[in-house]
Amino acid sequence: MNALAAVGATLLLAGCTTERSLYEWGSYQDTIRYSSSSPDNADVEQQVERLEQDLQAARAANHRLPPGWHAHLGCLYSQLGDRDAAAVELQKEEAEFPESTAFVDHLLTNLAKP
Amino acid sequence: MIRIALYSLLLSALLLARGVCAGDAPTSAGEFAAGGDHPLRSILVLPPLNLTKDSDATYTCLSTVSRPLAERGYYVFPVAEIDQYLKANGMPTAVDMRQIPLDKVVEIIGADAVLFLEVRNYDTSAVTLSGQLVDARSAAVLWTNLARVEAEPASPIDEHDPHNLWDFLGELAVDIAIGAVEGALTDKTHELCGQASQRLFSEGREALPYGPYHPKHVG
Repeated sequence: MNALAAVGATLLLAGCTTERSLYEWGSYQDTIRYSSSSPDNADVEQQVERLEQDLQAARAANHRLPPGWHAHLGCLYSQLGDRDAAAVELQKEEAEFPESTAFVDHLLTNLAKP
Repeated sequence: MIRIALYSLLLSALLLARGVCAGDAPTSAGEFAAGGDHPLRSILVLPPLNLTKDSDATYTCLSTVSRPLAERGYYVFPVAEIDQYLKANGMPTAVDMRQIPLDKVVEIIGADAVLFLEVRNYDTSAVTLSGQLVDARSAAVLWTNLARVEAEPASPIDEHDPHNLWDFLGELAVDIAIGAVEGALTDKTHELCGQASQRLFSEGREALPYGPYHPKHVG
């Protein structure tokens, strides 16, 4: 009878357990918050550094990076003038999330302009 | 006899479990039937319309929306880049951005739906967000919801203990001295925004149905 009660309690709790996050969020949303307030180069460099740390954390945990993450990092690289790194990240966004293709193609076209 | 009683107890516990758990709303893909030939996979989030007097509301709240929405199983376009793109294309404010033609949303951005948000309250005591999800091809309203989060009424002053008042005043003096009060208030409102965003998509009967990246998605 005790066993039965334990099974019941477990089932009840199982219904309420917090689901595992689908993505490694790290500081992505924080960097969005700062990028809306016309940051200078030092700020952008710091944001890139934080996102690169998230990348390491995601790899270590075998966890996916969220939608928009690679596109955001790509655009930060572009602000710093590093077009190659920007293009690599934008292409990763498309590969990870094909839903982004139309918009990211547009960003890639802009990036290629002199 | 005891065994029957236990079984019925277990059964009622199981039935209750669904109602008890916040955020586990019964949803079905059928609610998005308006998507037709284009199942809803991707959402364009526009910067929220600010109905408050605080100019920070739009971008603070915008920064909290991607996570709960993507965790619901949808592709969320990068909100900062969308904002910059719209600004560069003749839509300098959140008010202008809401006028974006839906055919451009489909053609240039490739989004299946657009999320229109409003910040209705924004201060350290409460944040209220409302949201409306619109099908980018048919302009049909797919979903609407409103979420209000109030700050815990906890005061740093305990009425029954006069000593704490002195502690509080002491801390306050230090805070003012280092200019930390404003920052703390901003963080508090930011936190409420995050909770309101989470609640908007995930809690109660009006929770957004799960999208294709979520394991519970019904395709």
